[in-house]
Amino acid sequence: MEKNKLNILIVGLVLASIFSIVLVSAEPGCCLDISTGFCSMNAEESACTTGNFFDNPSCSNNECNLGCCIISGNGQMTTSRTCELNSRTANVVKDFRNDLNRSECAGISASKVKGACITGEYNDLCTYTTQEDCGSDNFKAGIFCCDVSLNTSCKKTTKTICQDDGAYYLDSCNQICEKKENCDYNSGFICEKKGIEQAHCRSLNCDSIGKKNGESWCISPEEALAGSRYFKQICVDGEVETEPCADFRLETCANVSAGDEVTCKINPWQDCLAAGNDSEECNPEYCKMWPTAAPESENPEGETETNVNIQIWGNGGNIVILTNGVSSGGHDSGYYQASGFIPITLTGTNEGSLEKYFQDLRLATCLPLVQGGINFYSSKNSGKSSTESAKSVCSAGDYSATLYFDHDKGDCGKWRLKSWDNPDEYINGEDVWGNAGIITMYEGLLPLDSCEGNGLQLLAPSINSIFAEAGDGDAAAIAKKLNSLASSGELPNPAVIRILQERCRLISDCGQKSSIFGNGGGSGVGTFTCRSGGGEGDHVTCNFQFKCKPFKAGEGDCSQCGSDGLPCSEYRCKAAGGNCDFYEKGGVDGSGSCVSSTDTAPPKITLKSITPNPPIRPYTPAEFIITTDKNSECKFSLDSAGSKFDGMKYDFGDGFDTEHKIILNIPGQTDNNVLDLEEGTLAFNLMKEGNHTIYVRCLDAAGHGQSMAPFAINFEVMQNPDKLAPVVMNASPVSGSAIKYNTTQKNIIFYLNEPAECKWELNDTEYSEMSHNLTCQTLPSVNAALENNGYYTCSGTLGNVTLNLSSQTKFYLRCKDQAWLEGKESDLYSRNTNQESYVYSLRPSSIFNISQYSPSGDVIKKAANKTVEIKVTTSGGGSNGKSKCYWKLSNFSDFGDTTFTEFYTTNSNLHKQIISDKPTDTYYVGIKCIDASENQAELNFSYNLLVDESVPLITKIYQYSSSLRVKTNEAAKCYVSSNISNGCSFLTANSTRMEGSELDHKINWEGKTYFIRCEDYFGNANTDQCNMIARTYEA
Amino acid sequence: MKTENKRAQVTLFIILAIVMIILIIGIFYIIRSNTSLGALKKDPQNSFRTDIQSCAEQAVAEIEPELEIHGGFLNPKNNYTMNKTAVAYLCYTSQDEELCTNEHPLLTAEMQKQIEEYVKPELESCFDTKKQILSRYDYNQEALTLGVEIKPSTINIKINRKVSFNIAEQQVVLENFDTKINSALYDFLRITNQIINEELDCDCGRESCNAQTAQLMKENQKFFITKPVFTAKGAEVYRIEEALTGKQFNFALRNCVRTP
Repeated sequence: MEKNKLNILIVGLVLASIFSIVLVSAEPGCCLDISTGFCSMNAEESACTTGNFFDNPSCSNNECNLGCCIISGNGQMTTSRTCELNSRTANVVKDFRNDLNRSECAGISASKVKGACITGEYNDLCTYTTQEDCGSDNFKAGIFCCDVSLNTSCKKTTKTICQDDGAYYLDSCNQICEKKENCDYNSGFICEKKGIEQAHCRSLNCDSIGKKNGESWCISPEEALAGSRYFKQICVDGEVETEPCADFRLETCANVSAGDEVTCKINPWQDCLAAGNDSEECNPEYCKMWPTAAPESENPEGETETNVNIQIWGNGGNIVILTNGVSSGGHDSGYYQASGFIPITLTGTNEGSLEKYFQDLRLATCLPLVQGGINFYSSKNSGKSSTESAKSVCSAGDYSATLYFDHDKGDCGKWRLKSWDNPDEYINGEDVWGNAGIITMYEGLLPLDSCEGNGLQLLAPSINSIFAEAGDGDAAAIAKKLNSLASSGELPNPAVIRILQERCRLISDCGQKSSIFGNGGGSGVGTFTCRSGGGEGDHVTCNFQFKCKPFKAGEGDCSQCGSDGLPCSEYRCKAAGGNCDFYEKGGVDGSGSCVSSTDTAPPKITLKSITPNPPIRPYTPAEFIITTDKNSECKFSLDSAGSKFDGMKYDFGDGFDTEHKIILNIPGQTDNNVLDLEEGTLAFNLMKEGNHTIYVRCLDAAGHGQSMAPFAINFEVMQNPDKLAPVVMNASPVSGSAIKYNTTQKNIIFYLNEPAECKWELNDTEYSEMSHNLTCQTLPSVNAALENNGYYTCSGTLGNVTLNLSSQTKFYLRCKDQAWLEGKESDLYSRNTNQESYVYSLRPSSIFNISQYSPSGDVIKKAANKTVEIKVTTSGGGSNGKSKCYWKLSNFSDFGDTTFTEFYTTNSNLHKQIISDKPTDTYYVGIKCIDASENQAELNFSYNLLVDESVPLITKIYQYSSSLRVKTNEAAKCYVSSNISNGCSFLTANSTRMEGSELDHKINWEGKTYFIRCEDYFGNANTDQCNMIARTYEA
Repeated sequence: MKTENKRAQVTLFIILAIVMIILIIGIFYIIRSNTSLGALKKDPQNSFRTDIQSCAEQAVAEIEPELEIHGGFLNPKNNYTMNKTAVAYLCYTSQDEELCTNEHPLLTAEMQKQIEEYVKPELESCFDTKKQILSRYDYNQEALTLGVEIKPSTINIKINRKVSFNIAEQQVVLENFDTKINSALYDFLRITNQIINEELDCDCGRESCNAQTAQLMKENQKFFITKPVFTAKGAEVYRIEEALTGKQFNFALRNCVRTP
């Protein structure tokens, strides 16, 4: 049993340990990265796996204390570990100093003197280094190697580089030579590369506003109005960077020290309100007791009387209490009213009575020096409904008081003022004034009588008289009179209302405070009501209530938020107008955008500029700027609108703004061809010359504009500048052609790749010196180009061609394009002229004639095929007879109406045409031939078409030597068969062809019987009859 | 006879011309495919080493700016999107009026690891190319070990792989391909660490928690430090820019956010 208890105890301890470890581990601590020596505050142990973890979130452990680590003469605040690691890396002994602060450490910089380290047999080699690193005794401290007095091989060049604190010239040994400019960072300069191997000093200062690089300053609101905020601005690299302090004036901006650096500083304004009227809890660093007597020196009049007339002045921050002799006419209160002060008149004689007055009214309150802001709106971004909390904050300015009056019988028989703390006691003028101050205090009736509650007598005479004249039982009448005075605004004292209103607005965004945009305002209102009755005797009770209410924004111009160049925020946006909605990412630089909830219209787009003006020259970046009537983000598509913003291809500018800019380069856009020119500017390349449209849509922060009608920007891109001279692509006739026999000129058409003006000359010379113009197509024309296979023509007559058949004549042609630019030429667009001539030659022709022809005379054909071929041969001319020939045929010698037809085979010097199926007759043939040089020859001839329909006849048969020979009367083929059984009815395929194809035919004589059949070449033959049978007989 | 001689000469010239064209084309292709082989034959050790080092340097040049603009991570999980770019929260709290938690106290090691993971396959690929080129030269390689160190002014890439091959009648054995690449990354990390610590060295609720950027710039004169983003929800982006090169390191934090 005891053992079990022990086990449970052990298990419990283990679990407790684990639990405690888990709990401890969850607490953040300090993580030392041992590989770098960096200490990270507020890190979780789980994230510090390979580091050393310390249970000390602020890293105040020794390992993380910073000191000045000096390496190579330069100081840097590091941990000891970092210093050790970096010293090891730099191969130097660790020099870590705990006794130097940040500024002292930063002031330590390398100061080892370098100089010319001269070496070499002729003392001409040189290295710019430290003496320590110089292996030579010849060291010239502070002198560069390029110094002419050293006469080394290292000479000064014009190249410059950045090094240390300046721009230096390089020497020919590629090391720094003399300093070109001193770019001292502390003076606001830095060395910057410029171009290739060039460096210069560039100012980092914000010169336009007189601020140095790194200098910071505050942008503070003049008054803590709703929506106001503190900003820190800092000059960085010539640009002003804005860093807002926490919104709602939770932070203010203040100088860090006497230096030129500012920082955001927490503003615990709510602590002031929490202090209430406890002056000891009211931290003077952030708060003040209110109202407060101003030092005498601050009194506007510098007067010090204290015993006549007392005025209280509220100027928005302090309540200035003046003690002034109004009765003696010493103070012009009207002046101060005009200046916005609130006068409250209180007549008294006792020094310090004013403090007593405030004390008795319980007005003393600890108020913030800078009032913080409140969520006077319902925040959809934060999801908080802050109206209640805002009311709660402003309620610190609420005020209520009750005045009790009675006319108890058996006493002094007067109306008396009773205590507010204890209605059973009375207010006596000598002691306290109590709430009577909300009516008016008036000490002119002193001395007071000795009745208890004689404080009533301190009321202003007009009030006091109401009570003085009233007796017992007049309570209802008194209450009525007092209520009447309240209705007319005499009660309570209007100055008290104003003081309470002032206190209300000094709490936060409460009361009659407007926004920084002059919009809206809160309210603080008081009600004063009296009633009679209650208890023994006659009683009048008056209640005064003042409600301090939060700021309420009216309808406003939402675009004001951020229009001052300072980032918009929800608080500022809501202060601009109750109709304003804030969108965190809808503003410039992501700082949020303020849009009216009633504005559901898409952004209105306006084209601001296209630079340069269209038509845009190619190769020239074109800047397009559009503006929108509210912060918007825009996109665009080229030459296609699409239906929605989301479908558009490119961003028009970068993020939300009212001005949007893109830069287009022309020509040649691709998706990958987007260039970053500068922050916020995108550059695209356009596709091609011609007319283009950029379609733009924009979305406001609330998303209006998704399907808006696209805004179209039309522009024209000029064609590419033509830098090429025209080219003669072809000519008709081609160069080298012959012209007509015995002529010396020729009409020529030249074909060019572009419209141009052309001239020719017989000698090669400049275009301007050529004297013979051609007729050219000088303007671009689709039709003109299409008619000639895309070419433009120039035509004219070239003359003076030689007649010498053994030579040719050369013509020199030059052209000039873009005639439309004449008189309007610029550097980019200018006319191009051939610098070399197109050489064209012509030569003469010889006589052209038809040298041969056929048929002629009788043309014998078989009846089944009376085809006749006409053949013509041409010669001479410009192409050695090559020409085209035409024929006509008629059986009348005058040809009648027959016309020429081109030979079936022609365009050479031999021309053929088949004439078929003509009846036998005499035919007349007309021939006309024309060559490329326009030489022409004509000829007429005739032939007789005859038909052969008779079989060939054997006119002779005989034996000669060892052969049998026959003769026919016409050219024929003869066949022999010796097959007795077939006789003359043999098939030629089964027979023997006799040698010979004309008139003579033979075959070996073998003594057989020879059945001979012959067939002429027109197919005339016997089919079953022999032409001849030859047999052998015994002699 | 004369005509025949001339014909023979013309034929010979044509054949020679064809042979020369084939040779030129062949040489061109050989040169193209074996440029590195030629260099290897000339100076095998240095050529091989230089190629590998260049390969690593190229890979680092690719990954480094990506890491820098995203706050130290290629794909930061907890991030703020600035101009469509995700920037890692290095210190974050979802609560208001509370100091952020330093989420990456060992950022240097995390970045070293990412660089290593990016460079390693690139290096393997480069070694593979060498292996292909030297396949006929008894090429052998052992396992690759890679280390990345972010040091002041440099990123040190430690490449160790034993390779051997026989070329130009010599046995080449290489093992170490370490290289150092000039980089401001260490300074970016050092300043980032300082900024976060300054943000955290703060009594949130009683103090405004901000880094003293102006003071930091005085101490680090080669860098511009700005805070280009601050939102109503408390996200802030710090940007450290190397003045001379314009290289930037961005990181986000959400720290001690005040609400009314």
